Amino acid sequence: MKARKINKILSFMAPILLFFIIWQIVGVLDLMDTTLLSKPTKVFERIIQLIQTTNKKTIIEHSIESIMRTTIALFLATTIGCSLGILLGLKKNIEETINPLITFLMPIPGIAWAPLFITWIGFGNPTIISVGTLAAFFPIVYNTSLGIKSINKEIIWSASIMGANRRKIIKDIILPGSLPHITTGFKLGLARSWRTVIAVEMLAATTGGLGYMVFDAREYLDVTTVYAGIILMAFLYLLVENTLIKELENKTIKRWGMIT
Amino acid sequence: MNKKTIVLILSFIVLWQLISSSINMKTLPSPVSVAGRTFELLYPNPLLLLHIAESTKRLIIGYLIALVLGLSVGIISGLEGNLKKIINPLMGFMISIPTIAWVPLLLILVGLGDKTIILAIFLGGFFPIAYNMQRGMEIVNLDLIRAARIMGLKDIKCILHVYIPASMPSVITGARLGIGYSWRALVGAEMLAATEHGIGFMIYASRAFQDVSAMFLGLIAIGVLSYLTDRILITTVENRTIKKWEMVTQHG
Repeated sequence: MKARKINKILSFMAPILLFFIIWQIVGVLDLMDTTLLSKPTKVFERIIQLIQTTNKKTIIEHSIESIMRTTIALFLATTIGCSLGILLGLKKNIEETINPLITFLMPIPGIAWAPLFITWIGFGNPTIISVGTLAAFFPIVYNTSLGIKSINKEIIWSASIMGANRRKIIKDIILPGSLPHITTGFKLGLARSWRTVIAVEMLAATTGGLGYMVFDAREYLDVTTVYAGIILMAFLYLLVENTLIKELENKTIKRWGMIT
Repeated sequence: MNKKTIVLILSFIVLWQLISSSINMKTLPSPVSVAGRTFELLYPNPLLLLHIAESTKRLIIGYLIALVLGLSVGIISGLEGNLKKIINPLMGFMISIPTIAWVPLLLILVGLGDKTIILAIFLGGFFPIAYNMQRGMEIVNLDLIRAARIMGLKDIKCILHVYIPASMPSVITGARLGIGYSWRALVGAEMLAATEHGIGFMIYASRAFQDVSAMFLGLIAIGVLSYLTDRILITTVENRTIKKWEMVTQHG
């Protein structure tokens, strides 16, 4: 089991390493303009430098700032989104009223809201977190209500015939039954709030965050820092997706045999 | 659009008017002032149409490149098992990078303007399209391919007439995801890299003048346009192919 896991990680990492090696070779042989292309070794050195730096924010502080914003946004979006989704899934007339609005607003990119929120509540954390919440909110509402509607009505009927009250039905049938959809919504919400937080940081952050760091580096044409930021963003996301989310799925829907 | 939806939209607009007239105009513009602003932007010079046209042009160019290259890469890596082992992890890595993160890099490499925006749209759309095309190739029934081979179909014909139609549901999923990602990249990139036109640029530029009505107008325009692109591009193809061939299964 352990060996297979390591094997899997290795076969995933090998091509990425190969890509970095080719990049390094191109950089060393000077095949293209190295001031624009940089080199993996230089990027790696820069990451170390940015970890140890004392006169600016370190790259770890920037990452933590972005992660905290995403976490708060995702928490808010999940709380509000799941509650509204459950309501929409259970009450058909409310759903018919609100659904057109949700379908209309859902495809609007999170970042499009940023200037509006900047005008309303100013630069900084309130705007970044609100827009991040908004971006994650729609997929979560949509998938939660979809999950609740997908539950077999006969199970609910038989439970209520056998004397289960409303609270018990919601807790023991509706929530577990819609969990695969809720997990999908949560995963989409995570991806969208992370992306949106990074994007809005470029426009509205005043102190820090990975998006801010990358966009700030652009002003000094510091390509190496931009590469460092991009690579770090990808690794952080992969890490969260393959540890936290996998674990969550294993503990719930996989154990209950609900994954298809 | 049935009667009920229209009634709902109308009552929503009335509600919005009532709320906005009871609080500060600056923070929440009323539907009337948004409509007024729309008219100002259409007449005497149709600035709004110019913004929309520019965004649409960028979206179409970027998305088409993403579609062609994405489908090709997906097909090639779906056919060659060894290539897939290399391409798959790279794609998994690239897909985890927020598209907007490429924009600062592109700004340094190619500078402000159309090229950066179109490249960002391409990068947004390419990975989901390629990834789903490859997934689609994996699930094609091998019997179909063997049958086609025995009946003497050559490589290109086999791809065109067997692989692509058989993996059409995945192609459409990828195309739909891709256009969503492309839209996001478009609006983000226009805010950071556009020099004069585009809906994203319009929304961002309105901030300097505290022109909240124009921002609302921009948001509505994006909503309507992305609904239309999905309707015109994807749903039409879907109806003509997998719906007609009865390949649609329940999907979330």
